[in-house]
Amino acid sequence: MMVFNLLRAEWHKTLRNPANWGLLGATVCILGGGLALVTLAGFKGPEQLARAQDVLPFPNNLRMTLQVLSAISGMLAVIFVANSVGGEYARDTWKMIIPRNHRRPALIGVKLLSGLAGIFILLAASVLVGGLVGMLGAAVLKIGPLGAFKPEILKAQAGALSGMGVEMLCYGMLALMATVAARSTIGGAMVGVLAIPISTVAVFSSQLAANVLPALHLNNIIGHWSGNNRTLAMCQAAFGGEVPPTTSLAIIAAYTIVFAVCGFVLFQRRDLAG
Amino acid sequence: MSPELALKTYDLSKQYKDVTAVQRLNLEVPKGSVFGFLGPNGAGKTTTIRMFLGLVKPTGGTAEIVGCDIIRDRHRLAQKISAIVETPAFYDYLTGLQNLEVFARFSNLPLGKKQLGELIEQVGLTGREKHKVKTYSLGMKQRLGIAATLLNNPEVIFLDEPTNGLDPAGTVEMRSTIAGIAQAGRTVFLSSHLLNEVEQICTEVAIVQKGEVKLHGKVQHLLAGGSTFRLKTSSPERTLGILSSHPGLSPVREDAVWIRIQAEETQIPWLIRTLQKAEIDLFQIHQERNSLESLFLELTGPAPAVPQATALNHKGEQAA
Repeated sequence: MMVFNLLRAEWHKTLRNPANWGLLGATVCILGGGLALVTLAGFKGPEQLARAQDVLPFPNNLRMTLQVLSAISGMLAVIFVANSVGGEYARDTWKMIIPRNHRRPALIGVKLLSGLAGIFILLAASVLVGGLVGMLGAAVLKIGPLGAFKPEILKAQAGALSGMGVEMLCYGMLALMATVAARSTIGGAMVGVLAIPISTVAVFSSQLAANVLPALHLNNIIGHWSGNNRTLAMCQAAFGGEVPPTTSLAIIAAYTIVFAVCGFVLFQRRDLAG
Repeated sequence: MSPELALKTYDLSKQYKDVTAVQRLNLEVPKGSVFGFLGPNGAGKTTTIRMFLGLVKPTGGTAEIVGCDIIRDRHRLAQKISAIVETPAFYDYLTGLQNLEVFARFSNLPLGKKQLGELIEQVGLTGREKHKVKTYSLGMKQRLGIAATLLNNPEVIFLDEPTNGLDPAGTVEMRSTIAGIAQAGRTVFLSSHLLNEVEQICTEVAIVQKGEVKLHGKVQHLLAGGSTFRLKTSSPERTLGILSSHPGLSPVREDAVWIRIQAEETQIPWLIRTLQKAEIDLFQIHQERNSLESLFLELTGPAPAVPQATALNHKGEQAA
């Protein structure tokens, strides 16, 4: 009952937080805008039209939607978690919550659960908008809104979505740890947002970094699960050989657990001295 | 802990690396009292309250609030206490009512709209409860904060500087709200550095400095201890002469009219008879009350000197 009430309180805030609506709006605009640009490009010539034919009809349009989401999903998770946890520091509302409910891990836990639900809605809305805009674009270009249905496309997309889930969990926990350590949204978001590009650059500059840091292992997982051979070839080159997805998953799980434990322990032990 | 006590601390301490915020604090707060917790800025008042609320962990000692240990019995304690620490904090994108709903759920108290509406009415926010908190004035936020503290019908309420930032009308209103809370039999632990405020509403007081209790007692006892009287008579010179012959009164001529003496209350009838015999009319006599301000300054030392503005006369020239 207590967890249910906490979840309801947290969900109430998540749903009404204008920052979350802004994030949803921005994501949907990026996706819709991208597909609209592909549609406009389709009028320029036969080459662009062929590209539009490949991208816009359903279910192919989901591929591009997921590619875009995959590029920003880590950052989305970081911003979502940093805003959810850091917002309480910024508003100084922890001092109103903790005396009412001293179970600090439960408070963070429901935040993550609520964030997960929020991100799920964001992804679902993005996929829906991507699908609709793609079909609309296809109709405008008179290429038919429905493409040839191939089960492997859906399988690949499900794999990509699962990989994205793992990535969001890992970076979300990094953001949690950084936000609790910095006790601010900006601090947490900065660490999270900077860690992604820095580690991405690092993994392509050093084989050691590629093997040790989570960035390429996440790509390796997504590559395997979605059956994306280009991604797999890129990973293989950077790792200096093939790395099984289970190994990458174990490494990512280790990172996620360490980030989560550090975040929870820090939050449990630290004073909220104001 | 005695059942008459709402709160008792046992050498409660908090050390931040090389800074001692609270040092072996020992307090006893009777049930149903309005307890003033006084001290200059940085005296450790807020840290102490934060320790009571589980926001800050003590590094030494402990405290019991309504029979619950602040470290071991936090779950039970959460149902019995409530607080406003400094300025109340809210989700400004939610309405006042939605904020109360959220905090009620955090307290595991899914209160209905009717109960929340009653609380809103109690603090005088009816009509504004559906407006976003970002549109509220500080006074309204303080009132919403009071409503939030009453959600769990607590036995002890901690108020940390509740009138900070309020205008005079808001301060008076807050004072009457606090009095109303206390009338319901709750214990109010009020931290403040506004001595006048504490003097007006508190029944007990403790003065802390550098994390240590310097004075602790009932306000009426602390303020009633004055043994200084001021007299206004028809002949100050003769009065002074008569009283000077009586050892212990130490009469001092303050100005052309007033004489100050040190006396016990039991000596006053004698004094009146003596002046009457000498045919000196006594126009006024009054006892100088101790004020919390004088006690506070005596215990904590005067505030650091501020350079005084140069006095100018009416022509704008520097006065002699």
